[in-house]
Amino acid sequence: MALQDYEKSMNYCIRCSHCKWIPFNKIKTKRFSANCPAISRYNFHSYSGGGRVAIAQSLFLGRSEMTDEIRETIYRCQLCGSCQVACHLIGEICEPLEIARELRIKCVEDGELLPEHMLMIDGMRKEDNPFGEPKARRGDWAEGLSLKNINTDKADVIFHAGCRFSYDADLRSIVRGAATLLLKAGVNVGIAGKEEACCGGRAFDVGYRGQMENYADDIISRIKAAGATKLVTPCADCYSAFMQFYPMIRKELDIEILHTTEYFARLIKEGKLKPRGGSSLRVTYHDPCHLGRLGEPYIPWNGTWKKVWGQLNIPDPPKQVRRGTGGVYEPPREILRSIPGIEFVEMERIREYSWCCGAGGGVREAYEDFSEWTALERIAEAKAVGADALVTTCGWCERNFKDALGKRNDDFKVYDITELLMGV
Amino acid sequence: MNSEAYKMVENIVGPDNVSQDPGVLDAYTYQWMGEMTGGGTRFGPYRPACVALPSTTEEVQAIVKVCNRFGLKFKAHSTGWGLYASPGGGGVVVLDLRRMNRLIEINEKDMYAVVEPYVIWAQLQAEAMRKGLNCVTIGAGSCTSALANCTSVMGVANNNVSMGYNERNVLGVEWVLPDGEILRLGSLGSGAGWITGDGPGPSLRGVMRGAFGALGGFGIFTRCAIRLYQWGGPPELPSENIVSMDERIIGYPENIKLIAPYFDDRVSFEEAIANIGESEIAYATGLLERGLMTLGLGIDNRQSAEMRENMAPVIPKFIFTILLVANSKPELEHQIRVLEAILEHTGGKKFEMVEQENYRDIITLLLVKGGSVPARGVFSPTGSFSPILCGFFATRGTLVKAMDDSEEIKRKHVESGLLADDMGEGGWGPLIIDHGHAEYFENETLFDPQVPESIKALIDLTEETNQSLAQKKLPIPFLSQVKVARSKGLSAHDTIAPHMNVDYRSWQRKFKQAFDPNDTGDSCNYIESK
Repeated sequence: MALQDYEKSMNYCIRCSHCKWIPFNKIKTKRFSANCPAISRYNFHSYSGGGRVAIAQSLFLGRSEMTDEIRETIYRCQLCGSCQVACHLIGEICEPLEIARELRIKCVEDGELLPEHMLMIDGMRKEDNPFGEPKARRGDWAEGLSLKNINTDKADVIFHAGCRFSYDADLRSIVRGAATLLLKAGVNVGIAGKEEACCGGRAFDVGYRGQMENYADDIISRIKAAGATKLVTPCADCYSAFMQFYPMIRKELDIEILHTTEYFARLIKEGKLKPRGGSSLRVTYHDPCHLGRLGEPYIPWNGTWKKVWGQLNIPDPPKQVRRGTGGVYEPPREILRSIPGIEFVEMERIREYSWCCGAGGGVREAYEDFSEWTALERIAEAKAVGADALVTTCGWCERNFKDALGKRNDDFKVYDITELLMGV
Repeated sequence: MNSEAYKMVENIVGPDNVSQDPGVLDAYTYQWMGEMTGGGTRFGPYRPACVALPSTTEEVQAIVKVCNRFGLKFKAHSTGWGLYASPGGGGVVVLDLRRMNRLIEINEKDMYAVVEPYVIWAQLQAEAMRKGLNCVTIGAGSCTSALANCTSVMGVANNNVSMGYNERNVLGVEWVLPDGEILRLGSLGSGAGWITGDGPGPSLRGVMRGAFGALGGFGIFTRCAIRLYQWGGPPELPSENIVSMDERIIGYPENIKLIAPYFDDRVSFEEAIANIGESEIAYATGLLERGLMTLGLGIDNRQSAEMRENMAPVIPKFIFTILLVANSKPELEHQIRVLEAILEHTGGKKFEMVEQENYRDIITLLLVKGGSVPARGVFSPTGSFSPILCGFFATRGTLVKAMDDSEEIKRKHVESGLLADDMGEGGWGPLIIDHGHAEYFENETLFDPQVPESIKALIDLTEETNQSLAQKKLPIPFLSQVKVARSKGLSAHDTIAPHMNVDYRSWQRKFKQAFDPNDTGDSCNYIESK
């Protein structure tokens, strides 16, 4: 796809501003009624989903040219997708999220790059991870766990740790805990260890489509060789790449893909996993964008719009309207409800219309202050419902929340759901 | 734009809150209905000179003074939806009031809220309901500015029947006049708080907005108080799912009841809604007519196409909904008894399909909150719409004439295939204003903004309808005419006034000259001073 493929889509923004708020029927307070970090922080309409559509069309039609201000606008966005959820409650032709991503691909093609993103891509090219950490140490997290090596052994389940969990020492107990829980439940699980590579989702998000294509090919070949039936990942970013991005670029993984929370919930139901529980805790749950609305399976479409009933536009063949409704929402909640001692309360912005943690879309790398501001907004929401802790299921979210809190010496707790299952 | 003037604006709001980048400005040029004035896109013909984001009344005032000093025009908008928000010419400084988004106060005792321009109806309503109060959330959507609706542009609502028209719900107002002076209306003008719009202190609500508003051509409103009303429903209406007909209310409240009466003819139908208004039993009335309801409420356009095929023949033609909200079970029983007496008197029957959970919940949410349903109904099918009869306030008897007229004319145009086929029945309404004092109806017409012939069909239909109304000595609805006039580079008032009993423009122009001596406010939708 390219910007010209969205020529029709760009004409159907109605400039209604629904893209700036959570669904109106869900608003409980004014304080937590916004859905989009970018427009909330920077205020110009150009920062909203609709504004990005206008920018894209303006560039496409040659009405304006790329400037520093427009490049900043394009990259100051987590691509969290909340604009598109809201937009698609109103219509289905305009696709603000896909257009915002295409703007970045155009930027990369035109050499309009951000140095911070180039550093990330450089790390991927050299070491297959966005941090530039040594590839040889990618599997260190699993030391001593007796997990199978899928490069040499067969396993039913491939456990894909992802870059963040593989290299972030603070999060190591989570990824080790997840693998341990699978082993305890009797799952025949293996890892690729140092041969595991990035999913490429972060590269795609900052406009480097080709980089992700390479990783997709790598993972597809590894899956074939392993003969596994399931690909399980604790990383919401990787999950979204597998479920959404790969089909978008027509790279299909011929295997059942599960986030750890989906698999844990299944194992709990089957009686193979028993939540241990710890001290009593009132927690709230943060839906990671990449597991929720961006975890919705993507169904490729290559059709046309036709007219019925006069001017009614319908897609032929039927086309998925992406509203995030097919994301992973219930399994994490089922797990939380099953853990002894845990009192679970919901925040105001949840599920399809969850507020972003701030880490996505290359924002954490390039605009640290914006990323942090976004995280603090979410933490304020968690505190507002009286939670003792914020629980999430994404290493990137957890890292961002912890960093934002750390800078303020705030000891508000952030957990991964795996830690609670392990009995924190 | 003069660089000195730009620098002054930058000093007022700070460099992060002003831009003249062409791409940024194009985000302010792209507009719903831009297709009426642009060359095949939604970009209107005029890009702003710059856009500024003030955060206080003082900043607004300072920018207006800069415009006066440098001979620039200005135009402010809050949520900024629609052609009305776009500049009417070149060299216009746009003030985006997004940073002025404070809900300053909800006064429970005296039942009003004080808001800045970027507080939307959905936010105000959510906060009010938690305090047992409610407000008029207009049909244009919960995403619209409460202040803009109250001070600057008409907007009607399903719940006008119980809470009145917002023209009369606006109380104290803070107004930056086009010359930069600040005027405070009503009790606010005498330092007596926000409680009334009419004094002690200057009472100028009629001048400020009249029935329709000056649409940004008469200065900038920076704060206002809005009357709130007692709400007998729960503090929240929690729901599951987010998409149209899939959404369900969790625990439908016992003291709320939705009923859909239908009739054999339009005269009985109108008599019933008038009686309902007079009896003061309804929280809200109204519905999308069957053509629009079936075309717009599917979870996607394909499902809507199927609903149009299968459901439209099943739904009665002369139907509306009424939502009863009571403070107690006996009160609800009383309301139902009154309604049944009205239906017996007018020959109405109940269409029970609407009481099924899936219809009941989505319509209840529509009538209470607005939500996404109104916008979905009119935008999803074709990508654009314009209401004919938009702004048609009727007295008893004239509503039926207008409804008949619009339907008949529209059906002819629908047959051309250039508009969405709603059988001519794309109406939103009927609405009752102020307990039966007046009635309102508009007929939503869906066209494709990417099909030039479809746009032309919409314009032709609107003009033909307006001509027909004029011939029958009925009022030409202002907001329908604004769009048609703008598409032809004309002023709406200049095309309407000749059909009225009195040329009201002479008064409008005197107000404009008095309040805007330098002709600084962009008056493309109001009146030019000369």
